[in-house]
Amino acid sequence: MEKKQKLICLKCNVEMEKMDVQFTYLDRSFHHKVLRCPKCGQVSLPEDLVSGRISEVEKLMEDK
Amino acid sequence: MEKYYSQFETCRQHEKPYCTDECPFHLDVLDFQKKMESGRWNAAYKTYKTAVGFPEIAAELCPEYCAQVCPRKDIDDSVQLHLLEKACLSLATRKNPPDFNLPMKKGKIGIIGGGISGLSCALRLSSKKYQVTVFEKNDTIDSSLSISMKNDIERQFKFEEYTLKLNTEITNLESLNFDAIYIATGKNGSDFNINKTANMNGCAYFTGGALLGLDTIHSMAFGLDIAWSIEVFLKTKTLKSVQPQPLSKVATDISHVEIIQAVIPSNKDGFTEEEAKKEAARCIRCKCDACRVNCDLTTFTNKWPLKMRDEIISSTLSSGSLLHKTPAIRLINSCSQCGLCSETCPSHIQLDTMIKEARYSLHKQCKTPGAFHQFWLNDMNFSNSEYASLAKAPSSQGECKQAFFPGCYLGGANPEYVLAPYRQLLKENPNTGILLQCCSIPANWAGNEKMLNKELDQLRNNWISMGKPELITACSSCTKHLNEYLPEIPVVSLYEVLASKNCSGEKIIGTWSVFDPCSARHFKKTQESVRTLISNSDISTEEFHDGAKHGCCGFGGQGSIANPDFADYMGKQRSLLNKNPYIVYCINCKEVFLDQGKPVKHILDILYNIEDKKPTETERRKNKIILKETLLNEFFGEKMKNKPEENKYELLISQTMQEKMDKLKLLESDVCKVLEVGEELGRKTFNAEDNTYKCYGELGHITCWVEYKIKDDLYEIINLYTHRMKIKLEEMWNGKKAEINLP
Repeated sequence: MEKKQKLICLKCNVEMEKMDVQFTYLDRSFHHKVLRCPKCGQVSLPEDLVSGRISEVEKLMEDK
Repeated sequence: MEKYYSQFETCRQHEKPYCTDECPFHLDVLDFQKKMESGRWNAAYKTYKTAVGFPEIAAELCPEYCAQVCPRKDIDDSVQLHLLEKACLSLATRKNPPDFNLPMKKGKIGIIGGGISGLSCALRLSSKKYQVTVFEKNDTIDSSLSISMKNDIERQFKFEEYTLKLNTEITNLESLNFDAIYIATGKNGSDFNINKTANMNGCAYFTGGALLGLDTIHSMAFGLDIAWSIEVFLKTKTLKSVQPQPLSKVATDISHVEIIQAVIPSNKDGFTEEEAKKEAARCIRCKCDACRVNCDLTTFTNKWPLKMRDEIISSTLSSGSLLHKTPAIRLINSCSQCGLCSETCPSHIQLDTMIKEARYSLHKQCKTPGAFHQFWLNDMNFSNSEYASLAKAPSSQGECKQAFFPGCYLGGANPEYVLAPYRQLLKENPNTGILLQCCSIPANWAGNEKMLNKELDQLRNNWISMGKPELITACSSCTKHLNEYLPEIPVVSLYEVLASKNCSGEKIIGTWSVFDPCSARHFKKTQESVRTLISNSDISTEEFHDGAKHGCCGFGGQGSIANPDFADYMGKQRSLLNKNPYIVYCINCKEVFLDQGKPVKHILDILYNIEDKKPTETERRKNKIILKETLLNEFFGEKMKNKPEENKYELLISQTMQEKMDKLKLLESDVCKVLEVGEELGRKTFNAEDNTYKCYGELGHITCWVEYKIKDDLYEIINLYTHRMKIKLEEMWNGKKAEINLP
């Protein structure tokens, strides 16, 4: 599970919010709600999401 | 890929075992024994009954032809199938045939002779609901049968409708009106002038059984075969008889079969349940499983090569459809390319070569995930860059007769591995050149034809510019690769050269085993030379049970990024070959065994007293630069002109983070590239709770995230992780143009 962290985008100095982000891998697109800067759109992915769901989807795509 | 597809026609995976081949009924012995071993008596009975028709009669008369061909006869004793058949009959509880309420079929069949062959044919056809009439001249069916055998006949016909005409002697065929007639009149009986088969006026005639001189058991089997021929005739109006099957080509390796003496029944009635299970377990289940025994990939994935072939073909077919399946991409990129599968296959099916072709095909179609081979290709590019490669000879013309070609990994592990033997080679021949570069095998393993050709050209040109010297190689993979792709280059192993000079090292205590790398499996001279060097050093050794016939340590094929679990599996399997510490002569093998916690020494450790640990990936790059710099300085009195730029940030990396970086195949320079995104572009986040920054950057096919703290000018790495998915950023965000291009 994603940890609830208060993250600040240092470019815009605003708090990151959970928003939809598009991902692509092996010609497929996915979207997921992750922390994002509401001003500049910068994204932050936590490690548990990367080593969990993202890694799972990558494996699924590679073995499809 | 088609040429590899057709090779599989000779695959012996589905060949029958020898016993099934020999059995007149072609009993599926593998299935029967499996059921007997697990005590499923009723299931075993069903298998047996399906094959023989009348199980009590067959079990009573079985002459056990299979015992003559059972491979166990050369080990201890043949499996006692006859006793197992009897045990099956006495232990099975559901022996009645099934009762199906099916309508009768149109075909009318006449059988002349109520002997065992005619009755077998009648049983098979009546159970398929054909209208069968049996003519017997005497007042009883086969008078030679015992009461229990007659009971068996009664039981098997219990639910079948057929007409038995006793005391009816047929003297001419014209009086009969059938679609097919089986003449089984027994020894010295009349064949009505029919020579085996005939088709007259739309009626098929077959002769068989004792009339043709067959013994009882073969007559039974013949009757069942004729039932098949009659059914074919009724359906197609063609005369076909069961053809003798070609002899089984099953190839069973009995070298590992344990000696287990035959079970002797404790009482005269035959086996008890436990005895039957034990005897059935003695069956070695003859089948061709050379690939499953020898190839790690088939064992690890639990797939037979025929299945792999289909998945590989499906994955390499070109199709733009999103529905197109590519199930073998990981499998193709996992194979170590050690070649043991094709060498041990009795039909020499080249699964490894097919997989290599598949890698080229997938790369061409951009189907290979870039991250699978990116690290290795970058490493090759670095080894062949101006910072790490060198092609030089001591003579003023720059040409030489011999040049040392250590490969790129040896110097990366420790520059001394190259410097020490080069010093010795120069002592023997002062004009020995040095050709320091990667042999280009990573491009081959990645299936990247363009890159392979480019690197091979560079290597060929360097070799030509040095006066086409004989290359003294220290790595068997390089040797194998050069032999295949640049056969014009003469190659000799470093260990052969050193052994010919009677080199030796310091003695080490204990008994050691020499682990030959898979790439040196056929380099007998190299294998012998390494053993000579060890024996010169007075070290006690013990050979492996299978010699050099073992798979790869897990490094070959560079599949550890595509399938880390499989690479680890191979490493584990090889480190368990025996309990002795190993002496290796491939640096990759050494590093794999170090990771597995197996005590190991490289032959060069012994010869030159080098004691070293496995470097980090960053140290490996640094070692390559140090090696080139030292070579230039020590042997040619030159200074290195260009060096890669120093890292922009000074990093503070804990041991845990260092291990994680190596596992993720990240270099310090990679981390600095990511930090640059945060620090130079300002694209970073801040977590006030633990006072850490986080930023990310794309490193080719992977995206790397770094969490860090800044202490004065030091960047302390708190955490890092990577993924292969790309983050898609919008060019316009809230009406403003956003930066999406990361370095």
